[in-house]
Amino acid sequence: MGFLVGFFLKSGIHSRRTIWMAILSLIPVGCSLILWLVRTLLEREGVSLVSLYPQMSFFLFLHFLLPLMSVFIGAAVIADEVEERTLPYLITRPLPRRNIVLGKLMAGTLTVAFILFVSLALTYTLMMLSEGVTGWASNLKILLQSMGVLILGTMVYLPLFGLLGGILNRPVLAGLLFIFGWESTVGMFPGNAKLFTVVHYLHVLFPRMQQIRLRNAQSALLDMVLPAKQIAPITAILILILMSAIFVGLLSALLYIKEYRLEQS
Amino acid sequence: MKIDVLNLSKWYGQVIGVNNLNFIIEPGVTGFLGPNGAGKTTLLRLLTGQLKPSKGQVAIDGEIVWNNHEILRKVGYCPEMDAFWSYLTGWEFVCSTMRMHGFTNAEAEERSQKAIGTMDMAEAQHKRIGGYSKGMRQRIKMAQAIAHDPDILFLDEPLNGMDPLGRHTTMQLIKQLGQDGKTVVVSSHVLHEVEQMTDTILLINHGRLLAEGNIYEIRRLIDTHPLQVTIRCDNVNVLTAKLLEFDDVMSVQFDRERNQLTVETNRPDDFHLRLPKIALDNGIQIHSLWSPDENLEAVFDYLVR
Repeated sequence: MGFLVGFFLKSGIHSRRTIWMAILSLIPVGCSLILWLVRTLLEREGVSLVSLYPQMSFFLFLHFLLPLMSVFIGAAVIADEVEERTLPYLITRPLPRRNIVLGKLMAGTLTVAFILFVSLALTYTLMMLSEGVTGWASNLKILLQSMGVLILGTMVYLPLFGLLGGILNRPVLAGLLFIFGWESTVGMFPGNAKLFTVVHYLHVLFPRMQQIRLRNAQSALLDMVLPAKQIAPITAILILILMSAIFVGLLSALLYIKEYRLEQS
Repeated sequence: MKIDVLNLSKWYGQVIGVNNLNFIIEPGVTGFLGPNGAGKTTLLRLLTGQLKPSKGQVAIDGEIVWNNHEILRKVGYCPEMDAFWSYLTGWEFVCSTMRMHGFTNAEAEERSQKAIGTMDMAEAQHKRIGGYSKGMRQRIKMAQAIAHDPDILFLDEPLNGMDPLGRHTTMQLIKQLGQDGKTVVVSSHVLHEVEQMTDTILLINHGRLLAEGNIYEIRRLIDTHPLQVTIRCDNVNVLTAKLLEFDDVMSVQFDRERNQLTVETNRPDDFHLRLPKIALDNGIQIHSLWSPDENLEAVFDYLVR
């Protein structure tokens, strides 16, 4: 298994998709750099970048980069080998097909986690250092917590989008509809509808959510009429792990059941 | 090791890939012969467990192949498709496939070294596959198929794009593996290629098994079909006159502008034996010779008519 993970990791590094994702991950770094420069050059000492960091990581990482990278890398888990016509080299080996799936998912998770970590750490550093080294060091827990949440999110989203990639002809489109349609829209519904989204459980675990949540009178009223079930962090972690296991299982089963008709050269 | 194919059919919706095939393959070299699109690749994918039979079954030494990854330990497969992880070097490619086979790093390296050497790829082994010629890519594909010393080898058009030396080396290797008691299945659409490797062939067209057995019997069937041979030479007139003296030559059409003639003969073997002597005796220089009819499609059309 270790060899397979390394092999797929190397394969992922050479993929143009990964390079694009790495470039995309520089968006939050660029944003923080601009904020930092604006604050320094305009001498707006009153603007606290430290207080902006939770919002920044919430929107740009949890709601944008994580799902987007998961869609593009997850959808390619099996589809890449089919498109590149290299699948026969894998499935004519004495390898259980679940090992192929697990190897690809672990490599994908490591790739996404690494890119996100580098970007998150740079963003964190730029924003926290605006208030000195003490601020940087004292808030490290937030960085680690948010990174942990992002890794958990990757573990759920990658096999989910891998599954879509194995079933659908246009998995990226379906994935984008899912993250920017279902996850974003249903996540805003009052009541328990949000329990059917992945991102809701990630919200439960994300640090400083109370600072991030932007509430207005209407949504507060709706929440009073249709109160959402409160979920404990440990329950959220267990649910996310369960979801991940289900999607991995389904993806492995798919590779056993489904035949891939590769185009001949 | 024996391969049993029983009532095997594979269809994709309304399209039939292979249709009710029944045969047994014993150790030695067996050729799957058929024109492009005959169903050879589909059949090989069924035999290697990449596709699930729609009906019937494939068994290797009594064990069903579909969803049986353990049986693949004994199988080597060289796909027809020219596809690779092109960022890998030839060495890394073969070594990686050996690691996937469950060998330790040291074992994988040793086996890769040997297989790469057998396929004459030692010099180019550390270059990226993306920079290989078609022939080199074919040879490195062969290396990954033989490196784990499998009992059964499935080779899908292994000689495609190889240079004459590579073809010769590969054909000798295939024959040797057959003589060593391995079960080797080679698919090809070129009759004379298969003839040089084995006597045992299965003729496949439109997913059906047309004939099975000794190549000489099939050759005899094919030989009753008049063969067309096109010759380009420096003296079309003399060669035409000389060829028309023989009763097996049914017709000659010539094209003076291109210095070529097309002969139709009903005894191809005699014709091929006689031609060099005629050229030598009359000082005719033959520039090229080919047979459009060797295209199996024409022969198959003739056989099934």
